Amino acid sequence: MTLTLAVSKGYLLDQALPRLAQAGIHFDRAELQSRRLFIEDQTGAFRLLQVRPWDVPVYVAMGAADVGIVGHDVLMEHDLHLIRLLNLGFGACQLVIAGLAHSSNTQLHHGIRIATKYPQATADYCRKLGMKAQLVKLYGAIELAPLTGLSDVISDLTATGKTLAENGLSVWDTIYHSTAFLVTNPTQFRLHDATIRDLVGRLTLSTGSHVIP
Amino acid sequence: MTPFSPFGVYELNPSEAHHHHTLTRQLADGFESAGYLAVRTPVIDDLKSLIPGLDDSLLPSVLPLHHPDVPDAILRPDHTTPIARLVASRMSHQLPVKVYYCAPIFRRPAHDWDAIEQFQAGCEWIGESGPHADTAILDLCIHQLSQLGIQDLAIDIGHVQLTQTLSVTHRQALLSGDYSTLGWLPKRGGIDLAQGIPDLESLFHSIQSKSYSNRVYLYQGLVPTLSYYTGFVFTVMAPGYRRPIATGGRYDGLMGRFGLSTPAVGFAIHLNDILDHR
Repeated sequence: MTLTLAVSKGYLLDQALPRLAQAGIHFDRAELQSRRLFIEDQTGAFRLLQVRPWDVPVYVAMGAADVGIVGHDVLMEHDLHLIRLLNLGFGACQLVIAGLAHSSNTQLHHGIRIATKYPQATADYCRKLGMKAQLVKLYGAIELAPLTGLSDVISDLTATGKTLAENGLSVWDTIYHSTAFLVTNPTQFRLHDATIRDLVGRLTLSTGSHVIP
Repeated sequence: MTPFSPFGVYELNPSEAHHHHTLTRQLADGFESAGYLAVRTPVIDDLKSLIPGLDDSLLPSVLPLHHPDVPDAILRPDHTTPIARLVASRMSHQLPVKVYYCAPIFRRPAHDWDAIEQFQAGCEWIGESGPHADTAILDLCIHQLSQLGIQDLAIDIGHVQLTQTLSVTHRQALLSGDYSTLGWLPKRGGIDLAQGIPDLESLFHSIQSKSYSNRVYLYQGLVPTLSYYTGFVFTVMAPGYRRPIATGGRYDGLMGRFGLSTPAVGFAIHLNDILDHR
């Protein structure tokens, strides 16, 4: 039986492919770059779906994919009961609160306006601090928000901090550290028990993560 | 523009209704031949009167109803709880009782694609304990699903005692499905995983001769989350279905909450996906 993998397009796919190859699962480069929506590995045991990061949890929850590779950041925004099989370790980044570096006010305060693509995690963070904040959901170029007065601060993902610095923003606090996870849904996990355990075993060996399959 | 009924509720045209009735009639006939009697619980209920038996985890999905005379009116969120109340209040002198239902429950959808109206057909055997009752309930459920023509069933058995040796952190990781924090994938296999739990050993022993025994797994990741479960639990899955098509188990803790301490065991077949699967 073929196992269907949904992988986040973009930098996670780029890092997932060599890890999958180390685990003995090889996808053809030319096929990956073609416009085909899904491709099979050389053995035909695995099928790869390249989907948008935010869609990976939905594919897995609905059983359209058996397993997925997706960032912790995306999982935290979805209210779906997925199983985290393995922390793959790559795709490291942080969700941070960042504000204008020259701002005299580096304190978060009640009523602060925060622009973000990550309202769930940001709201959780504010709740834990006991702080009432006004969240503004944006879909891109979050750094622009404090520069234009749309928000006081932002809550955004950063890997190196370079883009923040370029926009004159500095990190005030870190909400979480994120890496890529291998996920499945509780029913698919059992219907594909042996195949998924085998995959976890192979990826464990190739990533150095420690989950006993 | 022609108006439509809302998403998540069932409106059936004659051919859909025929399919629905065929399926539910077949299940009802099967339950009756096994000695179960039909009951009906109210579609509109009173939260206050169900609350002793409703699990906290169900409360966020309860659908309140605006009713001028019943301040806590809700739509039926579950079958087992109102049946427990019915048996405790009106059938306590007849124990043990075997009852079945075939009707929808109503829940607030957690996601866009979830239904509000969820059809369930199930049986409750109240007043009976012991491995023979557990086995009979499991057997009836699997037999009925096979009769519906659903192939390649996978049956997982769990037990409340399976997590008792785990640390709080590990237990939490297991329940939330975070196996990367847990550090291992919960084992799924045969009776050797029963950790000496007598209920499970008896159950596995008594299903040995059944045709489906090679499709029954003891699964350490199957942990009952409803607080009134006291013994074994099971889920039935099948290829092509993204979630379990039936769930059940022993809930000796429920009846006492309605003032009648007596053991109970039962299951529910989740019909929405089966009805939609053609």
